[in-house]
Amino acid sequence: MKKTKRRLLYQFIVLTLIGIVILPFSLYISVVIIPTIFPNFTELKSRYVITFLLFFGICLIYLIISFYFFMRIRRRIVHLQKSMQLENDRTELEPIEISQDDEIGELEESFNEMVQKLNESYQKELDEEKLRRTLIANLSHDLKTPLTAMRAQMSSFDQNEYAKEVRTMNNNIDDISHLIDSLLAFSLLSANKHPYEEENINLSRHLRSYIANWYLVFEEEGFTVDVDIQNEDIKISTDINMINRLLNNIVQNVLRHAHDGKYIKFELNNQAIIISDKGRGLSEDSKGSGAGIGLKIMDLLAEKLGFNLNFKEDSGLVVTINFDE
Amino acid sequence: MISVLYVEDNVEIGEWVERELVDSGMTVTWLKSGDEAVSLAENHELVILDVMLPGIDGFTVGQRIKNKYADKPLIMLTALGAVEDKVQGLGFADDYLTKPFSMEELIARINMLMRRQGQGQRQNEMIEIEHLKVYLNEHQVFDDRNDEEIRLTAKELKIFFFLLENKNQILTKEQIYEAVWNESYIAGDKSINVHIRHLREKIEDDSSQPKIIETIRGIGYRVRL
Repeated sequence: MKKTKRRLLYQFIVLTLIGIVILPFSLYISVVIIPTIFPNFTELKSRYVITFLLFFGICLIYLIISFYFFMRIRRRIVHLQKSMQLENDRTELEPIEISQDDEIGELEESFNEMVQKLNESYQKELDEEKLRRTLIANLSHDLKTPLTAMRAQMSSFDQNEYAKEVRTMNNNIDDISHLIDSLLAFSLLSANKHPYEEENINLSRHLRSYIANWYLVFEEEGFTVDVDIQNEDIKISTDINMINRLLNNIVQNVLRHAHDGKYIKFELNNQAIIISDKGRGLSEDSKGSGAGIGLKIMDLLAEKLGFNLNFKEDSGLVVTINFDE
Repeated sequence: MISVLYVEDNVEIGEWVERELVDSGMTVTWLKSGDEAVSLAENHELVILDVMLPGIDGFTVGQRIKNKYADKPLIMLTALGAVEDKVQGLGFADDYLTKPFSMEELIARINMLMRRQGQGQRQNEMIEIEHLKVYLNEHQVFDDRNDEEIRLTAKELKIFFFLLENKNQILTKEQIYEAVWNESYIAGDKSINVHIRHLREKIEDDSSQPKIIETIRGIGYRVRL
């Protein structure tokens, strides 16, 4: 183990020794030497005054030096502390310059070593995440390609004679495709180590823009859209991307499993976002178990957000996202 | 006769798409890798790219083509079905189809993109909407029927043009406010409603039944072209 630096310790010892020596010495000078040099000041009172002033002056100078010594150290400690703070948008710490070759310098060195380890670990996480995404993209491609090829083959069937069979096969191909999407999304989500990043947002405004973005799709599918934002100024602190993913999942669920209802309603109040449709609800086994995975994904997202997710049936499915703890 | 550049490495899918597109009256150049795609893109009116390609990755090829020929319609074909992935892809592509897609959908999207592109050339100078002629560069709006200019205030013009620039999209009052006034929208501000009302009174035949500026209840406004 490296020998710990002792420069600060020595400086402190020197300062103390100076104090121990100088203070009594200055007292001695004031009391003994001054009257000898200035014999005129024999008057007791003025002698006491000068003695006191001299002594006091030297103490003051000593105090200033000590204070300066202390402040220099404090400044370096504060600088170190500031370097340790992570601003909200930075995820990597930067190493700092070693200020001096002493005890605090060693502290700074240790800090730099830790910064390096942290950055390496974070980089490793990013690399892992990237690898996972690549694997999943490849998997998705490998699964969907034969499906597409099947669709291609089916186009060469005699449409008149086998119309019903072709239609059924097409529906099955769609179902498998959606199931693959859900499974892969779920797999990514449950392994996701990405930190939940909070931001302050105006939820009323955000929801409105969100609905505006999806509106064209609703229109294309012949849906009626109802919007009831009860308060224009609902503010929350949350991860925007995650909330969007949760909403995306709910909306896609409505488009896929409640399509016949041709209706979607968005409600926002101080406690919750409520999305309702006029589909067949949860009870009917609509389109197989694709809906099951979809719900599981919603649960997972809501959990990460710290929100409470609730499903109810009332002329359709009603999903309540409760964000008010 | 639409000329399509199609890049797909899978033979079964490629043969199918090529055959169907040719059957519907297009000329198709089918490449199995992205290597020559950027150079061949010049001679074709529309490009269809598979995202997963051997060699140079489809996304990269797509970005290069878009950088070189910004106005050339580009459709990306992908296996990833999540909305978030589509949003990332649409960053530069004009459309994004998930595999397994249906041929009808592909052909419909091609036609729509080609139609939109044809209109795009014209729209840089003048837009016709209902009974209005809007000159974008001169910032003037004329009534088609009597050739009279409709005088709008600076803010009304800005609002109207912002809606036109983002035609067919629904814009929330926050988006309109911030684009036109260049400051943050404060909740409860009613000035947008007022301006739109005045705007309607000037440009619509019947401002209580607006045909040009549509209100989407609870969300925002839209101009449809």
